[in-house]
Amino acid sequence: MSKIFKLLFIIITLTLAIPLIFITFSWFFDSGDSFSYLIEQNLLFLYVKNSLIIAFSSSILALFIGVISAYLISSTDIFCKNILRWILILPIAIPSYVAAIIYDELFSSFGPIQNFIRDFTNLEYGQYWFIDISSIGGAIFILAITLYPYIYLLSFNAFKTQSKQSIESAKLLGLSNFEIFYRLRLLMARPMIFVGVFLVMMESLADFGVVSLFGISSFTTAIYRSWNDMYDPVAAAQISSILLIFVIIILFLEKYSRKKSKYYNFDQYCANNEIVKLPKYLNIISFIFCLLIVFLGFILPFAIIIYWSLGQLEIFFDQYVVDALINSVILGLFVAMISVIIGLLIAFIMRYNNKNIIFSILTFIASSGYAIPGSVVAVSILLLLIKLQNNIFDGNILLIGTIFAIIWACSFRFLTISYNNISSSLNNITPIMDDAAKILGRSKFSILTKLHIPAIRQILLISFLLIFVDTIKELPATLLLRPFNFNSLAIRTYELANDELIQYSAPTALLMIVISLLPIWFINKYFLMKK
Amino acid sequence: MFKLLAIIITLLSFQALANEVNLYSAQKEYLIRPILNKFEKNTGIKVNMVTIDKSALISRLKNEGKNTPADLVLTVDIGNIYQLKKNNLLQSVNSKIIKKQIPKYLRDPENMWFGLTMSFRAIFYNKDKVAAGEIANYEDLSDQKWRNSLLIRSSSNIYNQSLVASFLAHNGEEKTKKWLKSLVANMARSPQGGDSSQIKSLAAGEGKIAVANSYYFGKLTLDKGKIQNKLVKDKVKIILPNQDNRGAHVNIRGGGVTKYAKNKENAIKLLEFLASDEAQSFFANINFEYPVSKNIAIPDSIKKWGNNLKSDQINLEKIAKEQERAIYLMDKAGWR
Repeated sequence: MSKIFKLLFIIITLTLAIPLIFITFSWFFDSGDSFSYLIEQNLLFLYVKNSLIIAFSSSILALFIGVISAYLISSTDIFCKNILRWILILPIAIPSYVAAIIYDELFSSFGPIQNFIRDFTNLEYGQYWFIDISSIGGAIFILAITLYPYIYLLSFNAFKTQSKQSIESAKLLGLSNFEIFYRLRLLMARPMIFVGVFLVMMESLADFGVVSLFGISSFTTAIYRSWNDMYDPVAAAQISSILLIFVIIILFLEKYSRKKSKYYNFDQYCANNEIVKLPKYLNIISFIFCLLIVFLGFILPFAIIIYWSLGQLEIFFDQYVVDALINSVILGLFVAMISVIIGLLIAFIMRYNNKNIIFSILTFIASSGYAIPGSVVAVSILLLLIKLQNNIFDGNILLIGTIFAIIWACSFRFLTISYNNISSSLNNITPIMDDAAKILGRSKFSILTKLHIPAIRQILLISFLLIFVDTIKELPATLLLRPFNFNSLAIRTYELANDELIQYSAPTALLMIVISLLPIWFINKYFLMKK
Repeated sequence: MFKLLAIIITLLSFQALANEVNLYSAQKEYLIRPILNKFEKNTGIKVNMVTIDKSALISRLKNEGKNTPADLVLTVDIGNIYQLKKNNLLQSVNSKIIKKQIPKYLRDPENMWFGLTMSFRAIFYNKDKVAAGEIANYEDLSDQKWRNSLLIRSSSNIYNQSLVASFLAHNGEEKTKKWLKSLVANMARSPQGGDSSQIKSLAAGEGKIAVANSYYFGKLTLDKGKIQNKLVKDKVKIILPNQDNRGAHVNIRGGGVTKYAKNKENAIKLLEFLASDEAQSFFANINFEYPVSKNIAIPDSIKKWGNNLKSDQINLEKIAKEQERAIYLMDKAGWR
């Protein structure tokens, strides 16, 4: 059994890793001079600086929002907890670039707010102070407000499953609620919180939609330029490989700072149910804080999209839109299922082979897709498939332009989510349990199905739904690798928004959001509500 | 589910369905699909289409080589079209119909690419701040009186690249360098947003003049519809540039038949249809672009910008050849 597992592991990770291997080895290909051009023009340093500022600041802001809201909802008696609990997830349904477009329309010099100020005060543009949304600060805000739910969901789960005993012991030692939160619970939740922060950081590093709209020169601008202006996909791959260096540094820092300390939940079936009572003023402040977050991240953009969609409702019955909707949903389900199964398999095998260096490297490569811009992943797969198709099958089999290619690209990108989620929660299960099962003569397969899967089923579900939502929003891989006459909601939305017909892209954006709401409702009903 | 499977199977099995044509298009589906449907109805030839970003289209076609399924490609901007030719991805098409419909400067001397619609890079001004006649040529954009008042998008925008390339083709490198330096100094803000955003920011008073493609202005000043913007209608005026000398810089959407087209006949039929009066008048009315065919009356919605646009008649290929140097000069001048 275990040999088959290992073989499967190697085949799967290698297959997934190929695009990345291609990107890494692109340094050996002959490419144009666009890379040296960027260095020569002193552009690369500026790009790197902006990207790092945006990625770090937005993940810190998201961390702050996500952890505080998760703590308030999971462990205190905050007002309207039952409603806040699930509406706090909603911003994840709004694609970052859609939020950016909407905030730009509202807050820019020509937006309704500044218009009103000018009409009301008779001042001209420039004579009054106003927030500049098209700035690095604006990009950080947009990314944090739309991405924090990753951190919220994962830390919520961590807080919920923390053991009662540890917290009771801390109480007996005379720690205050704040100290318990700060010194104990935060520390215990740290691995899961880190996964969330990691995802947000990766996504902001790879973001192109927001920064390009706001005219910020970032790392992805360099990738886009070397491809779009200089027709040089290999240089684009080279520049992306630098992103990987950042990923390695971040992962290393986390591992190093955690050193050898491990956190096990010995009694996760005896989770902590105790509720901290907040003083009234603090309760009101907390309530307003959560509501404000949801307002900025979901209610406001959603309301604008509905407003724009009014008057063009007939689009929902357009055959092309219905087809796009069906395609999006089926693709989302497929990708989510495959990514979760592979993530589980890899995490399970790594649990027993984490000292094996080759396995660790393969896992790292296969699970770092989230940090690579989707368009680069897609183009790597595209070039690879074309090579296969031309050289091995001599053009008799078409590999690109198939659903298979899209699923490959998406699974590679989103494995980061499922693998990291699953492996951190597996790490919460003490190996003593595995040993006990082994002594009882259980096979590894039955340990996986009878012990691990039931223990982490909530994380499996969360991963599935997060990936589903991400696939619905996914654009570059679907755009580049799809068959003839195949559309998705994201593509339709993008094509209209890209031609600056933003209001006309609203109905399909609305559909995308509504479809993403279904799994969120599901998460709430079957996971968050559970005692 | 079955539909997906069916797609996979048909794509995996060798494509030999008779009466069809496969199209790679960098022109968006909402713009092109209605007219393709008309073609299908007229001829019974099925059009299989996939839209791709312009650079991806070139990479994909280049790498697919002789096994490409694409018969016809449609893209935007002369720079992209020229890349297709330069990479040897197109074939020469000898069609009397097309030659009759499309003027010489909007098609390839070797008949590999054809312009199908045309628009010009316009200058705009805010009428509260600028008097009519204060600016007339692209050359004036560098005038010192516009310090900190020009709105224009980033240098990675291909329409700006083509504009600079055309300036370069006409005025030479020294003049272009100087022009670019002052133009960058004249910018009201660091470049951001798309063409529409330049026009809207102009209306809001963020600058005094702006540069954008003509059709964006058409959409923003439509009488009805979601995009229509009252502020733009009230405050912004459009100028047809360089009318007293070489004419306004124009750009095209267009395409050609791929070198390895398997349905060549059908691809030519589709291209001829897109150049026909029926398709030309459709394009002119849907997207505020100028028809390339002389037979079609310019729609009133465009006519009101100024009578009879005088367009720069330099063959577009000359502009495309300058694009690489133009990008370099833009970067050198600090145009972000």
